[in-house]
Amino acid sequence: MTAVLTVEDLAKHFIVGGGVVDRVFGKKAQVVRAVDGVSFGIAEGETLGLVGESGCGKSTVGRSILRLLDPTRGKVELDGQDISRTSRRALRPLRQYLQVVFQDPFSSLNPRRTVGQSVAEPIANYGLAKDAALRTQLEDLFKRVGLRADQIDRYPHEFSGGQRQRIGIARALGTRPKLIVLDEPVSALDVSVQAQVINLLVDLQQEFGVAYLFIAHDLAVVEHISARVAVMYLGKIVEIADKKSLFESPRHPYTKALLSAVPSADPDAASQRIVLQGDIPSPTNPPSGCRFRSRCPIAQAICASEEPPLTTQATGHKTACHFAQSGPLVTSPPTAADQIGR
Amino acid sequence: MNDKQALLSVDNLTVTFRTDHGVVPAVCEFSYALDAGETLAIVGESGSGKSVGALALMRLIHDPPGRISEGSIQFDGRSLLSLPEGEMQKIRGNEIAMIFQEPMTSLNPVLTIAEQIVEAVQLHQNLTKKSARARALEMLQLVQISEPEQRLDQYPHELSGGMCQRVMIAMAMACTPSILIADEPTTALDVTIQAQILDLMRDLKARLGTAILLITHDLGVVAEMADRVLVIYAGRKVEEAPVRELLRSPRHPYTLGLLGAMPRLGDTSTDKRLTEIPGSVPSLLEPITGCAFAPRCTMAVERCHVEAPPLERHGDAEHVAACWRSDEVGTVR
Repeated sequence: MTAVLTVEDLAKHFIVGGGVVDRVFGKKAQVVRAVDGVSFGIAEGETLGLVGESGCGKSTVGRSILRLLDPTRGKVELDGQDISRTSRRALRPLRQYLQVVFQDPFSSLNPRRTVGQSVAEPIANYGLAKDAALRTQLEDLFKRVGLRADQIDRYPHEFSGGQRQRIGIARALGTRPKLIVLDEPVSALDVSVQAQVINLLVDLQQEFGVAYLFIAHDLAVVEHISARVAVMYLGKIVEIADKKSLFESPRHPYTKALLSAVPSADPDAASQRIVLQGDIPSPTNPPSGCRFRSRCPIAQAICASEEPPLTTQATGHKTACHFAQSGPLVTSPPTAADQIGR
Repeated sequence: MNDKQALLSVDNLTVTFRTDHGVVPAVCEFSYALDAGETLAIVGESGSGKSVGALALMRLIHDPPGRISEGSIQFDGRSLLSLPEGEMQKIRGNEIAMIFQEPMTSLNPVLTIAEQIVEAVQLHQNLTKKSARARALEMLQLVQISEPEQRLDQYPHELSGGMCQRVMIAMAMACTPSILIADEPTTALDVTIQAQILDLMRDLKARLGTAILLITHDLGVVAEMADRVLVIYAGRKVEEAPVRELLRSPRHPYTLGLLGAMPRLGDTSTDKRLTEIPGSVPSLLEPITGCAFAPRCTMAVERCHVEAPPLERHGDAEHVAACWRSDEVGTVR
């Protein structure tokens, strides 16, 4: 399989503060390292799940790929063409192949236009169809996403959340994209409707062969839909592997803690919960060395001084941890020499 | 349900809202009981009426447009719906306390943490400002917040979401209530923080013996926290059972559907589809005849569309379900 998307050392830093008022009070601008060097690839027709807690930079990765944000550093290749530095004009024809579905189906559709107009716009924009042919294509798209053709001329407020998300998906599919960035596409939906949309996404992928970058915080949903999964923490990918390998034998302590924290609806499931202490540190001032060390139950002295690189196992399983190992998380009490300032 | 008097018993509660489009019964003939020290989970999707049911308990439904049009609520030998407002204020926040989904917006942004907890304590207990502040500190230590002394004089915006929820819990527990209503307490939080808060709630319940009324949509949280579960659909109770029993052998097709619709962690089979519940939650504006779930139910027969099924007992466990075909539900899973 060839890669439809390759991301290399992508970084996006934001500057906060440093305005006139701040300067008067002697405050300096701060750099938020939202995404700080991530690399991954997505093959044709594949789903890569990107998980992490809020503020870990997963949405910023999606937006930087889409060039809704200009990356600070790094390379994004769509079908072998670098799109991270190209001008807006040169980017325009490529955007046809790169679409997006957002989290909130209530704010991502224009309330003053019929849903048909919203879905038709990208198709017309790229001159793919017009007039009667466009209408036929709309009807076809609506049917594919489980809506009726007579709903084309209605307005967004006439639809439920799940239906609106279907409309968002239809809009993304219209230009026959190669990759769709799905940014928390089901987290605003109720469980029963969420299942409908997930099944729809799976069906459409088989039908159209489109690749997904599936960004979400819900591990069970990501596990269900993805072929491979990347786990982010504070702007870095800490682990990336095939779904089976990642969920069955996670190697990074953060992944282990994250998986153990998900409540199971099975009353007999043995829960060996690893409760992490504290909150995610601020990305303006991340911990030195490994960014997870301030909350890591197995951190040692080396973790504070050296940043662990993302190293590959024979199986293609990549982990960024000095003490990566599969199996349960063994917390041996650190010796006095290993004590690090927390 | 039990021979002994339940701490709280809600009977036949109906809450309606007047809207421009007609009267909406948000909660309809809703009954349940809560024993001291027990955790009862109320599970439902958005718009199912689970939060309205809890607000009614605290008499926090704005009238108009809302109205508790029927039913009774007995708490500790008192009928809450007929108490004068002054008496109710003594119960609210003191004997029955509540925490909400959005910890960031539920705290007053212009008051420090100490001021907010002290206010709650002084309303109900005859304490000086100094000893109320000491109580606030004690509570912050109880909810295991980091650097509690420092937190006292901080404002909500200086705290993270998880810390704000700890403060909310500290405030709610400050008067050692006998019931804590937790309305989606961890929905807005990340999963590692959710694990911390759930741990804390379990620990407090064990130590202080508080009964918890947990309102949630997450069956995973239910499995971890609840003793008994009540499933609500379109404002009506459709099933109630001890947690194991409900998750193992649901007797209502809606409960079964919810369990099947949820992707499970550790299930790496790629080609397995999730069970869909077709359609969406019905509008409560239209009068519902028959079973409210019938239009979405794969098991529905003619009778379901005409006649509403009553809640019936199943087995010897305290398991009730409202379905005409409940004996056939969950025989295969």
